Amino acid sequence: MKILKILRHWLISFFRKRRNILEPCLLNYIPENLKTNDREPIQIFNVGEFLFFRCKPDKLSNPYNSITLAELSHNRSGSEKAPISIPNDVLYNIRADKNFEKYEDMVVCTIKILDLTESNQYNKQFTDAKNNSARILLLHDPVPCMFPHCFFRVWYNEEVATMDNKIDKKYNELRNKLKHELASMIYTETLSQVG
Amino acid sequence: MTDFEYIASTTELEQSETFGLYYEKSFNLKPSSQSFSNFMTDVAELLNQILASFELTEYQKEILQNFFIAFNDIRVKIDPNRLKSFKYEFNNDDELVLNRNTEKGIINIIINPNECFAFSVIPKDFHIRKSLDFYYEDFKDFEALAYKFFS
Repeated sequence: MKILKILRHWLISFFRKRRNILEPCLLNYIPENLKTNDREPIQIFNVGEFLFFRCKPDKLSNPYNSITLAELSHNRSGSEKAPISIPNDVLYNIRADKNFEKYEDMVVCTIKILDLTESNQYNKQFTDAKNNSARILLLHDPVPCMFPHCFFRVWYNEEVATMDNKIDKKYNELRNKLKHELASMIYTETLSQVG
Repeated sequence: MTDFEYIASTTELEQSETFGLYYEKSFNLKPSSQSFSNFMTDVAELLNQILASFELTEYQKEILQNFFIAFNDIRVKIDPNRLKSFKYEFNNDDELVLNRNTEKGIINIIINPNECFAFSVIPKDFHIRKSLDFYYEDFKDFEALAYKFFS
């Protein structure tokens, strides 16, 4: 019986992955509206849309100074007409291997999208004095327990920056420019804590 | 800190292999009840603390020292009240960042591990122009930037 159960689970996972369908969210404390279920990503953003970033209270004035810009996770607010999340939603723990519901010791930094490409993408290019280039792209990336999840992907000379390759260390000017760009989008420092 | 304690700590720092060069160059002042302000003690301690806390490159130590000399020059020659507190951090990208969060916005001095440092101003009002400038090896006017940092 147990083997059949495992096999069934594996087959469902396999076909879900093949069809790009996410696992269902099994965390009971996550509100229904935040669960992805079978919703598709919305790869269109809105000027004026907010992005929410979880950070430590002492980094609130500019959290981007402190971090490496690789797959930088945020939650998106959605448009004013069709909101999909509020700031505090980003404080939910969405990992089943962690035994708590909310990040009680963290706060929310809100940034605002000020401009987009014609196709409503946040996709910006930067160059440095040596003709190196960097690109930053915002992608909506729903995960089972957080539909509003999105992240900034960064490329340096066409190579994706990851936490492992530390590629950003080679490009001082570009790294400084990208962090400056994100910091200049900070909209509010209003503390938005759990509760 | 009393004068005696100051002399003791200065001697200790100057003898230290790590701090000797930087500390001596930056703070070869002798204390007097009039001129040796609490701020100077704070700044000296701050430099000491930064140098001790992080593994800075020679480039970062040099730029940091130039800024601290400029901070001191502002205090002595221009306006002691100009100097204000600031925060610092050494991040995962090995950048040493000195920053001030003012009512008008965020001012950063970002000292990269090599090659260049950056000075950025990010106004809180979206309508005011943000700025990010880079400075390379030939840059000399640290006093002007230090002055701007405290504006």
